[in-house]
Amino acid sequence: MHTVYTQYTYMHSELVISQTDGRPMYQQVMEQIRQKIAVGDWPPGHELPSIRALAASVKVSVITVKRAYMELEREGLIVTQQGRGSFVADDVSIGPKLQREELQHHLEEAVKRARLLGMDLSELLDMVRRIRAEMLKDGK
Amino acid sequence: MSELAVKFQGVGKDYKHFHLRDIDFELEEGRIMGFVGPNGAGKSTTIRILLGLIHQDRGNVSVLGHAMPCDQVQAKWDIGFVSEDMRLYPQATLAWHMKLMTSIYPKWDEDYAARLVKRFELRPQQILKRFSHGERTKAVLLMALARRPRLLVLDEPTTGLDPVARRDVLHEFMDVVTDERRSILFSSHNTLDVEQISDQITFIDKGRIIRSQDKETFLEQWRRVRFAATGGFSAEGLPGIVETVRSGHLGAVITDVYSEEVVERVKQAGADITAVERMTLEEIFVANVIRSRNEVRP
Amino acid sequence: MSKSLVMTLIRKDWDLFKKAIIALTALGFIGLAIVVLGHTQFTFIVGGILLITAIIILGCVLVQAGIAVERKDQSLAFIMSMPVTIREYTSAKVIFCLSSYAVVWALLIAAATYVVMASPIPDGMMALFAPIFLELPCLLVLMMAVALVTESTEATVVAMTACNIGFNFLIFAFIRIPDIGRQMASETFEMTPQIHALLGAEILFIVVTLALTLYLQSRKTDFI
Repeated sequence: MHTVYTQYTYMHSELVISQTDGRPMYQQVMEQIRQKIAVGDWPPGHELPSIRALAASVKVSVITVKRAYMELEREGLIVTQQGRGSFVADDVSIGPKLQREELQHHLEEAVKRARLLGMDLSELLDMVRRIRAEMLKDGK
Repeated sequence: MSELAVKFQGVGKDYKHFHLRDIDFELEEGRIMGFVGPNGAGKSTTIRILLGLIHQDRGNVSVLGHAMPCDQVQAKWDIGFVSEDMRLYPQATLAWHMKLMTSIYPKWDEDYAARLVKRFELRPQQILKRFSHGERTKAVLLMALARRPRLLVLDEPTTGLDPVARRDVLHEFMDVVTDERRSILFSSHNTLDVEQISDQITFIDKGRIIRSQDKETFLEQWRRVRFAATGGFSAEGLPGIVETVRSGHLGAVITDVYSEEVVERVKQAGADITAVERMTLEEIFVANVIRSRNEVRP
Repeated sequence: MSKSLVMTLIRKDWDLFKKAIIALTALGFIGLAIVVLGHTQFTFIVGGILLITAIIILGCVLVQAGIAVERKDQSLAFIMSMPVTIREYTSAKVIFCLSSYAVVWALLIAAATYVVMASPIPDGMMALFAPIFLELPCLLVLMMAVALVTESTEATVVAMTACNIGFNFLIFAFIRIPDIGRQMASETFEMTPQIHALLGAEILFIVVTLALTLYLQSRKTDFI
């Protein structure tokens, strides 16, 4: 058993991607990077692995990691300096800001889906209220 | 703009019962291209033309800046080729083969080869005849990988490998592109792997390229739209619909040009949309092939 | 980086087949020893049979295992993935086969010449033996050509069978040549124009077949 572990230590990777997760891979990468930032594993100013290095360690295509980095930069979470690499943004309030970003994503998905199903705003809000009520009942 | 590792322009090849036509695609340096298509689509033929092992009847092929097939010997110094049906000499040992490689290729990395032998769990002193199928596949891959070639061309490299071996091999492939001057072109039926590690996907069927695009754009264009509708609804004639499936009131359409408008049109044709789902490469593959089978060629 | 791989390929084939070649060459030596050291007609025949068998089997091994099987087993794909042209591959194969064959062939010539010159057998028999000596590389070169050019195991087997049968028939044909038939019983050996012509034709056959093989191979566009 010991031999198996030493053989596989090289495979330790920063993030874990699931092949069967329904979401596009670049979003999975983004979410895990956001989490690493949120919990402090990657503090502000920390240098992110190079795109190719991260792609190799996670075993996803370079283009996927490139896109993830681009989107995260658009969100202001990371900063890319030409020729020097990518760094976690120096924003102090990144923790809560991050979590709001994620909540925004989830809500955007919910609104999109509701529109497709032909639900109007009040129906959607009713649904949200019901869910919240259920949660409170179960002591969450 | 980075260099092109592979460029096919208007390539064609005619056989008695099969024709390869209008093959056009490009692979930029530092990228991975996944080559996908049903059996008999022309993947192996295209790959052999790429290596200069088959001469095209029409068109230009350029690999690492070399014109093929005339410059094939020059090009092959920097190309590592592995095909599923390739065999090493059964009566010789793995170590003998590695020594043969050392005597041919100056760029052979002995340390890396030794590491791969351990990682792939191979026995260098054993003759190839006694290797299991999976071990033989890994041995041939080792021969190509340890040369650190600028271009790796792989025809079904993971067939017959167990999931752990596949993971080991994929790790080595990804390691290749940490060098931005090295590229990989591989054909595989393993759509999960292709979807995961390819930067670019080229889909080939019946001797033609259906689409060659970067992966994100490619996947972005396909959706399955689920709906509920009365008997009167029909998706026939709606532009952009590749396939329709129905069972009673429920059904789904598949589109390869996804946009909000396409979904709107379905809704306006009288269906209630229940979901819009992304599709895996495998599902796209199947949808493409079914569509081409149903198409009547003019 | 334009190193020719011809030497490497020849060395590779030697590594793979040296056991068989050495074993058959040893068999040939044993045959020769029996012929030379034994003095009876019986030992002459036994030694002769060993030598001929060694030569025939060697020819078949070189062509079948060295060429046909390599292609069938897809080891050829492995070779063609290397920076080598069809011409280099063909040249390496031809040089390897001919040079491996040469030793056993030389042994046969030595044995037969010794037998004819040193024994009661009439020296005139050399008139028959000389064209037979050259016949063997002719057939080898023909089998190699078929194996390399047709790329078909069936064609190769047919060629090998035809050559082995033809070998015997050709001997009868040689005997019917006047200058040869007449000398078989004579004590002296004379190189007549007829015999010159026959030997010349055989050498020409070898050269033309090799040239044709190289030419046809170079013209191939689809190698695998």
